[in-house]
Amino acid sequence: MTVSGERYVVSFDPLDQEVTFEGYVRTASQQDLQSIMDYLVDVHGKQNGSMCLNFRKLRYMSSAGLKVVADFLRYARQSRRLSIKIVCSKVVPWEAKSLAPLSGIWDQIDFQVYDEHFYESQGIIEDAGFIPLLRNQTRLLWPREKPVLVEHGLREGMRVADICCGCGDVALLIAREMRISGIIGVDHSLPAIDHANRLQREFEVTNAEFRLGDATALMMEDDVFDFVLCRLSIQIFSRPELILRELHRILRPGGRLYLTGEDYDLIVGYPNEAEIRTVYDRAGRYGQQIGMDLYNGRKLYAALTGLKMRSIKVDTIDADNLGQNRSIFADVIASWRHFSAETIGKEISLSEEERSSLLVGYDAHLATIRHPYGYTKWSVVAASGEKAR
Amino acid sequence: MSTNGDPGPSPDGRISLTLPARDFSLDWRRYNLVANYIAEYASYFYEHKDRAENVISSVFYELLEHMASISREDAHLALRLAAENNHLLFEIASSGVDPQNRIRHERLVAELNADRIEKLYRDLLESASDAQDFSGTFGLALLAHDYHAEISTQTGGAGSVLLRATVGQEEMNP
Repeated sequence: MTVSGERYVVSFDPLDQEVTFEGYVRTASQQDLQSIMDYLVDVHGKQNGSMCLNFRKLRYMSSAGLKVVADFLRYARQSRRLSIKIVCSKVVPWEAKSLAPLSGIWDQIDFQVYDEHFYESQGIIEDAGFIPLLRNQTRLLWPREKPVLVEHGLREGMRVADICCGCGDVALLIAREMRISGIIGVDHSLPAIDHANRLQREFEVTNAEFRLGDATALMMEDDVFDFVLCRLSIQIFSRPELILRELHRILRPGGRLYLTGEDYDLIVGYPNEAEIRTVYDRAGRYGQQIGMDLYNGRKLYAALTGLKMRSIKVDTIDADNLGQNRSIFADVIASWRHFSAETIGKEISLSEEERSSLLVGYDAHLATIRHPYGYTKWSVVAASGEKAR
Repeated sequence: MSTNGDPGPSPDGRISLTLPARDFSLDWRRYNLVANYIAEYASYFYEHKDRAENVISSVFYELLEHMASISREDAHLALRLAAENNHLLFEIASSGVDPQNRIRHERLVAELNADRIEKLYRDLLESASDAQDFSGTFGLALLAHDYHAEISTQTGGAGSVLLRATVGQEEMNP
């Protein structure tokens, strides 16, 4: 059940009793506006309890469109049958500005900014303090990941999207080193996007662009990109299927979706073998408590299969502490040590004993990295698949 | 990039454009097209390009719809956007507005001052869409209320009307 115009679709999902607006509701046609009103009234008449109006994927709405929504809310107030929930995204400027005042029409209208608290670890991941950790990881992984990206189909001239791009380091490296046509990086962290924009200007990278965005409701057309990346990010979301659906949607038929994920069972080292295993087992469990799946690397093949993707490839990107990597690897583990014991530790209220135990484990791993005969390896799973034509 | 003495793009995303008012009555989809064109052009000046584009397009759309609807078919609309200090200046000048529309337009703009905007906006939300007695009333009120736009107007000879909206740059901040 939908109503649509040249640039918008209004549809109803009976599972959530939710009407979703997508595209641009900018029409001067009274017939179009009346159709939207009639549709809302029709849906309203067939539900019980509550009804949700979701605007997260609506890029623009003119005042005439907004007035129709206001008309409908007054109708709902008058009929007193359903309570109404209005959902918007904070990354689309007009939404919070113009939809919030609508809640004043009736006390049974609940206004929610969907992405203010949309995953458990959001406060930690989107903090500026997370950026050094991301940068250290990229320093270590990039030289190994670059050939993997080529192996998985990233080519010169492609249009690329890096969704959940963090502070933009990898997107900028791809833009500078791989002669792509252009890359758009999207992340929900304002400090990270600010950082990415700053680097882009400083390095004068003209084929990269960064946007604040919600990966579960991307403001991007269908079937646009030749290559879509989502690196080390799906693991932080409790409902990864919402992101995967969007990544698949923006990919053109024949294009490739590239995912990477952690698998803490793949972190090994010697000496201090037992301490290393113990600390990552614990860190994995603590991550679960804030909604992170630090073992999702092994699930990426299933995720791509679930999207009915073809020619699926799976590899590991292996970073070790040999040669010049020793100090970079140590920086990564020092970042993890702080993030796990201090940041996550505070979030889940670890006891002093648990926190000390974690610190001892990470210190053992750092000792392995620095040991003259020590060897350690961090493996990340990389998987990609081709969207059916 | 500047070549052969070309001054290159303005440092503040300034743009101006003149179009026949008739074009918009022939096809209203041009409101969207022109608002997005100006917004995308100007947005490259801003760090958060996507947000700047969304705000500029939203503001220009409402101003343009209002000015086109009150202008005579033979009028021209001169659109201008400039960044000055900490605000954006949106201007649309029409070369031809009939006296009756001009009076109603001036009355509407006078109502949009900060002291009264909250009540005016609330009243407009409570009134039915088809009860609006003058095109663009809700759109301009929305700009004043939701974007804290300062809206002013000047009228000149031969039916010319200038509509100006000043919007703080902070409206584009996340």
